[in-house]
Amino acid sequence: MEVSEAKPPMTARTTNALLLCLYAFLLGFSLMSFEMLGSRYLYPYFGGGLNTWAVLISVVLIALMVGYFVGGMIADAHPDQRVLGAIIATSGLYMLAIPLISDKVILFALDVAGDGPVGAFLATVLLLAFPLTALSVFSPFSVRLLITAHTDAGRISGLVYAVSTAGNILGVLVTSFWLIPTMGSRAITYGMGAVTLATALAIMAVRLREAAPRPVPVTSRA
Amino acid sequence: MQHLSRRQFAKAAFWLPTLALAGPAWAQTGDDPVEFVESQYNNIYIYKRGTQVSMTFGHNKRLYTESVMDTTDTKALPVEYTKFMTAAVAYTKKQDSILQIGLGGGRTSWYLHVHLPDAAIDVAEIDPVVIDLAKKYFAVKEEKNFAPVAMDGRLFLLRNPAKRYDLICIDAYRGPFVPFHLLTKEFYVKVAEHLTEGGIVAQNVEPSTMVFNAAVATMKSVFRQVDFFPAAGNVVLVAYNDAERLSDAELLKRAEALQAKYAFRYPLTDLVKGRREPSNPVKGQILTDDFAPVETLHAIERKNEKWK
Repeated sequence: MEVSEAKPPMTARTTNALLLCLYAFLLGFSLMSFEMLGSRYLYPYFGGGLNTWAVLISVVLIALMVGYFVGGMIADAHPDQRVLGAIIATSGLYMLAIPLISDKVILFALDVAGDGPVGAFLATVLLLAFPLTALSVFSPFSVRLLITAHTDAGRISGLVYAVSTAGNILGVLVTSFWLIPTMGSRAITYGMGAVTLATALAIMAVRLREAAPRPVPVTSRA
Repeated sequence: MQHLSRRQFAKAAFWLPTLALAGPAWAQTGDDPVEFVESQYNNIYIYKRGTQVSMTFGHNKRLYTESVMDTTDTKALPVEYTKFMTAAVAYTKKQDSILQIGLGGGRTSWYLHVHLPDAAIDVAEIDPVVIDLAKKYFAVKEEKNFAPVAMDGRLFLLRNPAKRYDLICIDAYRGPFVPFHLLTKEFYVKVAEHLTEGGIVAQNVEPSTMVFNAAVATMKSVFRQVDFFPAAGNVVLVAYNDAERLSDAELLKRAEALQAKYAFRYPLTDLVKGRREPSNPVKGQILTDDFAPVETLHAIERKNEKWK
């Protein structure tokens, strides 16, 4: 007996989904890595208390809020992976500049807004709001690029957010328990900036495959 | 609740006499603090046992004694290391200005204020609730030449670039930990910038983990000399910038002169004799703002150091 069942080639939908999940993971990792790194930049100036963390977490959430909202709008207006890649690239470039500007930015915030929560908030916004907002554009954008029919919208958005959150979790744990005790904060910042920039270049360079629109099942009743 | 102390002597000094004095009465009164405050930075418990009052910070179900005072004798320093913090005065050439970073119950700084009323003492304490409780329970008052400010110690230095001190005492703990930004080279550089010519730094360090070695190495990266005063579980480090280690004879000579002038309750002449050298050189990692894995270093037990 002879079995000749050729494995069907991976569909365009699956390769696209795998690629975007890889990006989602890396960018999710980078995002939370920056939240943890943010504390190392802020502590020397604003102290290591609950208030510093409250400011840091709220700024990250504000970045996510704006990034999700604006990202969704840009994705609908320009559903083009090069646009997405370019936005992520600006985030990566900004991250790479953080070690160079952090002291000046924080001293500026101290002069303008004092050493209380307002000063800490201003410093965090200046350091992190832009790159993290640009990063969080990725999730809604990638959902828009992957969806070919409204019937898979639930699964696809769920997949992208789950994978991105898995990256977030590892970003927190690996940064706190391995990277910060092993290398300097600046080295980690450069590393995460490089990962983000490399991901952005991949998003721009590796073309997603044309996926045939999935036929919408039609239910007909007699 | 478990009562363990990073300042073991504090524990011994506080609990042992209490058990001896109060005995069964203590068992009846139970373990309740006279006041508990959850501040933005700490869970603070005030306990009274007999004539003693203590301030402890709760951390991971353990209580870390920050300060102990005898209410019948507010100038006494029941905790051993606080006496040795004052030994640093013997090194100073002038006693006009002092900065204390980390107030706690204010034992060291208030003792210095009482004996050196003409010295302008600034205190940077991050937690305003600690300052309030120090005033309420520990006989600390805001007065001329004694000014506690609710501010992070490093920020205080940053915000007061023109201030200079003859002595800077550093004793800032949150439960078992010194916040990492108060242990880095950049921090000590800032501290050094705020010293007068010949200024002295005294720092309380808990020596059971590798953070001790790192603290010594980091201080040595900024100051030419670091002397050790082991104090029943803690070590007081005294840092200064002389080219040579101050000789025992010269240190005693200075202590004698200052003791004659100020009549300290705990004679400087006795305290300076507590200076020791570790029998093995202390080797550690220099901590910087960029790289300060204090959490990891805290997890590594340090072998018991013998002192010559």
